[in-house]
Amino acid sequence: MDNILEAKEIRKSYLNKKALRGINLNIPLGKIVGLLGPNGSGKTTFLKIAAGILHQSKGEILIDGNIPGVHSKSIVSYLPDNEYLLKWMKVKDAVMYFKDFYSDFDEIKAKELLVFMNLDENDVVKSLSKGMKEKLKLTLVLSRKAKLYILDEPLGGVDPTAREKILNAIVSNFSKDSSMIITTHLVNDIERIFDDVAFISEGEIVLEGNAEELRTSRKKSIDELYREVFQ
Amino acid sequence: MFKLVKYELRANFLTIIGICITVIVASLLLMTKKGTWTMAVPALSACFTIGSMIVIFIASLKIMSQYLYGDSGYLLFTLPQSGKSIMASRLLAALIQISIVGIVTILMFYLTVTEKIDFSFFKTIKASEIIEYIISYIWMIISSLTIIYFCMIIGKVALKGKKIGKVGSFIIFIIISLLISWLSFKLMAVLPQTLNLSNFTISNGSVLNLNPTTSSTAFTVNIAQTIFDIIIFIGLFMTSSYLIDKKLDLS
Repeated sequence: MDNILEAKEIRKSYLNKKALRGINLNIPLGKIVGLLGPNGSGKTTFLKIAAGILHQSKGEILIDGNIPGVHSKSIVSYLPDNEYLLKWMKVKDAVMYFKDFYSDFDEIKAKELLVFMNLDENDVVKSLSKGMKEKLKLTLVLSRKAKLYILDEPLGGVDPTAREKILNAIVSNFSKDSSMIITTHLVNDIERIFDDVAFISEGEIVLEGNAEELRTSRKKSIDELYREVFQ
Repeated sequence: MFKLVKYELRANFLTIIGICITVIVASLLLMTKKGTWTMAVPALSACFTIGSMIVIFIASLKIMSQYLYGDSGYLLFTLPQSGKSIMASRLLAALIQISIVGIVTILMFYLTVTEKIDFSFFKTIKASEIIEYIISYIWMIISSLTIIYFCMIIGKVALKGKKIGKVGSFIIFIIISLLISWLSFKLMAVLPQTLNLSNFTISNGSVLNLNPTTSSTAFTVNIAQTIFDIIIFIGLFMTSSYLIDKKLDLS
């Protein structure tokens, strides 16, 4: 299969609000795709649908050829933008939790990443700063050999120095037999790692394409393009 | 599923230990007043027992609520686990933690109120009766939690918004409980045949003696009501599992 994720006319409505208005998006294997848009544009809604914790009102989404469910959850490594780790956990408990439930979890890689991120295994999750929690979440998510990584605002709440470190971790841990979809506001910081980008506004994709081709054809960086599209 | 149970119990570990230690310490203090507070000691001990059971029961519901409405749901519901597995693990974990607290509190109640520690009364109880008590106890916990979890899940699925979802779940719970009780009562009236679990004989029994969970002496169950209860349990369990898999949206 060429596309690890295929979304056709995905719509999501809440009573009188339309969060997604027909998203069509394919994510090929081996690509890092940036899903870019302002607050409330529908980025997180789309990612939640792909992760299987939200259900579309209309349309079809396939992950590795299957609708989101137990199988897709076993091959998708999802980083939500909230503090979802259990408060009683120590860092090592969180690692064990992932090891227990995900057969593709690489404990050795996790320990290497913990060192790289300056995280102590014995620290209690609730005592960590926001940036450290973000690093821990990323460590757990990147330590899986997943087919699709879904990262929702991986740089949120992280200082500029740590951002560079996190980006390096993402790039060095990415393999060509998997794919990644990343949402962010911090386009300038992260655009160098994107293969493809999709700009989303009010629940619709308004521009998408290969990042390098867009830069060449528009003679602008992705960050400048983002500002132009959403000004 | 058992890995889920392990983490569920770990999450409630401090609550379980906290309740047990509180009950043990309070009971030991009460024991020092034996003979002085003749009425107050058994009354207070009973209060501790009932109170601790209520607290652990609510703690079991709170965890489910946190999964449905809090951030921790993102951890649970993104695991490659089916709705059935999640429901079964929640029920099993709740049963274990309620049982641990139950055993400790009842034991402490006995030690507090008794004049002479003597467990010889166990010898007078038949093994079959103990099995029936245990089955009745497990059934009571599992079936009541299944109804409550179903109401919580359907409230979350059908009613958007945290506050309205929780209030709605409570209203749904009252309606469903009343409906099940009414149907159950009607069934018993129409089909009064009972099964005696001691000797497996079928007879026409009194309605008052039919429910094994409310009667400690009559080991007869109304056949129609029991089948109805089992169908309701399976129906609610499967529907809850389906809703988790296919309809549950995390906010």
